Amino acid sequence: MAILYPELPANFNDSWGEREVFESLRSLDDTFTVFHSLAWLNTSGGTRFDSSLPVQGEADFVLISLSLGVLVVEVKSGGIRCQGRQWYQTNTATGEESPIQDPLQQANRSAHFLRKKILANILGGNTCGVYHAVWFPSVSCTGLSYPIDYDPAIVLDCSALANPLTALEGVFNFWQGHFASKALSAKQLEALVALLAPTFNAMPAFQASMEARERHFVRMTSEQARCFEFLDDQPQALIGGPAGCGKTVLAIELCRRLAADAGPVLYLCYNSALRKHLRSVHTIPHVSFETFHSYAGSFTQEPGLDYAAVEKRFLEALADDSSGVSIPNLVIDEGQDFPEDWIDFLKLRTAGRFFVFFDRNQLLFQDSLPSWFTTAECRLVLKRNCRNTRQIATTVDRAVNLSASHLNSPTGLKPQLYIAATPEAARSLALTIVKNHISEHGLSPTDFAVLTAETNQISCVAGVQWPCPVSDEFGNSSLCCTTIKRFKGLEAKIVIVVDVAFERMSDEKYRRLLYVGFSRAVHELHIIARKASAETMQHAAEVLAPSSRLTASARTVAFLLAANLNKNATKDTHV
Amino acid sequence: MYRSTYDAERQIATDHAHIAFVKTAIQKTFDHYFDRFVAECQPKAGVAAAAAVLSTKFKVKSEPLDPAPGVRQRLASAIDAYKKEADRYRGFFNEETLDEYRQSDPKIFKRDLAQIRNCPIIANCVKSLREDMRLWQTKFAGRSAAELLDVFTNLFNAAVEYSASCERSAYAAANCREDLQLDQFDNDETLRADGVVGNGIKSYVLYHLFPDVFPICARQALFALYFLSNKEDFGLQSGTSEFLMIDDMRPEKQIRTMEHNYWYPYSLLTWYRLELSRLIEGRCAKLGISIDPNWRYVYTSPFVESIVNGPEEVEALRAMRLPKDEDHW
Repeated sequence: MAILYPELPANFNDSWGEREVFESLRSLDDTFTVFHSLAWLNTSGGTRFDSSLPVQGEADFVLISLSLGVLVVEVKSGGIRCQGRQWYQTNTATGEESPIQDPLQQANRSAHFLRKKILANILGGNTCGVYHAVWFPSVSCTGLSYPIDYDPAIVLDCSALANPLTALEGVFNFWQGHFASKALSAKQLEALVALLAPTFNAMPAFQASMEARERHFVRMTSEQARCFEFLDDQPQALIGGPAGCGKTVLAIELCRRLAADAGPVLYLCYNSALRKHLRSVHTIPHVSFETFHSYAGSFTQEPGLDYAAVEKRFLEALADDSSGVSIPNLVIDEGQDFPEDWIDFLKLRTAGRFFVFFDRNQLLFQDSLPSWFTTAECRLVLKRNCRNTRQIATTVDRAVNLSASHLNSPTGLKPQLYIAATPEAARSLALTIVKNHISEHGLSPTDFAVLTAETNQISCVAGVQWPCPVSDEFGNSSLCCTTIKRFKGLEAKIVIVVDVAFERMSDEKYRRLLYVGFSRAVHELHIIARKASAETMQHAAEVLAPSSRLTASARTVAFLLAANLNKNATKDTHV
Repeated sequence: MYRSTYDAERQIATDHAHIAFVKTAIQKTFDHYFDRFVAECQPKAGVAAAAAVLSTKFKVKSEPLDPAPGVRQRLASAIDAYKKEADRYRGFFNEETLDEYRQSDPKIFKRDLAQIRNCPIIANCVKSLREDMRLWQTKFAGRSAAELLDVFTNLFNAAVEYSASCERSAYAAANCREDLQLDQFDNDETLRADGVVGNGIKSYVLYHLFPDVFPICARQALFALYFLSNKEDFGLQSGTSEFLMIDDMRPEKQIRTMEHNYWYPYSLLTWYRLELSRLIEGRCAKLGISIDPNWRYVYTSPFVESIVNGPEEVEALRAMRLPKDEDHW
């Protein structure tokens, strides 16, 4: 079959004849390349490429044959009449006749243009024959007398539809008898096709896409901040919401507002990495960023005490009315990590306003939420995800069987799931992802977080020689390689979660850990899991889609996580 | 085959020596059917034949007709028709759509599954007026939507998985059924819903996703193999062709018709279709027609269609079926 451009035209300019000719040319063998409706623009910079030709034109068909050359064919269907060198075409449906341009002249103009283009762009193009012909598929032209610039050999009619090869060979033979040409080489053909049908793939730049999404996230977080109008009147409030809904951003903004209106504010979280990061990027007068333990330590001021002892002393002080502990205003982030007694005593000793942000699905350090979370009078739920792309947010939800809609979130790459047969393969995968993103997209090491679902010591990426500086803390101009737990509350543009074990999927706490890990990703999420047995996959599938009857396979698990099972990368990087 | 002896006869049908016999029989009849197919592809075959007769009487020299353009045209039309149909299946059986149904409501999936714009084969079965489709229609109505969604999700995932891991050159050069590694599509119970989604429907979906590796395994394909194998029984205990099924487990007076073998192993059918595609490729090469392996089973479809639509074959099939049956090819 001939090689066709386009393979299946969207329309034939409402021309019955063009459709018939197209179908006829389709039956040629693959030594023919056929272009339908090839439009051309006769410009070069601000001037015309060829001053003798109009600015633009179109060839109904351009045929390229390796051995015969190039042929431009103008098709006119319906009735055709020529009188005194004026050509007329009759619409067979309406019977209406209208004057038309000389079809051979039309074909000749396109052929002339192509000849010039080939000469200018293709090596050895001067030996390539570019010819022209007309095709009247509705009529039989036997016995007609033509104008002097026509020859019966270059006029095809309805009889050519059944056997186009013979008819076209006749046209080429006619022209080659007058203007000899050389056969095209395969390279010339390739160049010619590239000239007439260039292939390009313009994708939005990676960085530009990320910036656009980040603008979107900022806009969404601003919209979420409307909740402050409600919180302004509340002395105490509990604000809940899933990962990525902007709790930390809102908590900081709340601190800023309180500090301006109500005096000093203490921001408390559980995770020291989060506190460190916030301290490094936010300097707000009258707001101090602490973890529970750092605050307790500063309060007790006794050297040499371990965490448990510090915590105990601090709680005793909070319980003691005579200790004089008083917190002016308190904003707690990651409230789900605070045990019941911490919350109760801190609330007790807060003189001013008291706010807690939490996400029940990020409950990693204890088994249940403090009871105040169910009794608080003022509770607010944030629903909109302002951190993750729609695709990542969906995968995050699936890890804990949530099914929220994220239609307002910007779209991005589907999370990628890789199954690594060995720790070495997993390591190699993580390394390849980082290397490729740095070299191809110009990302900086701080854009990445490689998070393990295990501990740093037994992680598959322990001891990897990264292509950039690495640290287990975020934001040190280095790639952050740490545990999911330590990275809680933080986020990175590209997150690679490693050491995912599907055999632990039935453990709700483990799935919450994955939820936290996955939700740290802003733009891209890569999940590198250990290879598991069919039974394990079956079990994982049942956990992700209870009461389903799905086949046990990695693809099914990827499907249920709304991720793309990336097998190619696995093949490429397996060691 | 008989339903009662299916297990034993299936064993025999998958035996290498048996397969070699069937293959030889197919090779013997192939040329007859292919010549007929080529003749059918010629748009003006009647006129050309008349011209040939006239030329003997009036000494008019007639050009020998080149059959290749007609065959090319027929194969090209098959691809066009396939593309149109495949768009429907692919628009429905894809990761995003299946996932959406799972997240929203599987009941909507079942409703949409029976729409002609989504899954023509199911829509046709649901709407069919044929007597023997009644049982299927009842079973389809009784199946839970969630179960059907699971089955089609599994099927889609299995197809993608197979296509991704299948080395096309190894597939094309396969020496036996086992080389195709299609056992999952025969044995995996999660890829079927008994009485509702069997080999026929399954293969329609697979074919419209990846036509280079999955052929259709429905009545037309099996009847075509029945004729191509010269209706022989190759020594099966039941004395019937393996491509037919006789439900001898019903009371004798209810055995009214022979059907295609709806339990025929998909991997074995694929193997014969692959052999057939090789034979077609060989004959097409002689006509100067190159076959693009990406459309392997699309190319074999018009040939299969041509076999079962031959006058003798139509007559033979009619004899097997209930007279009042609607003709539903």
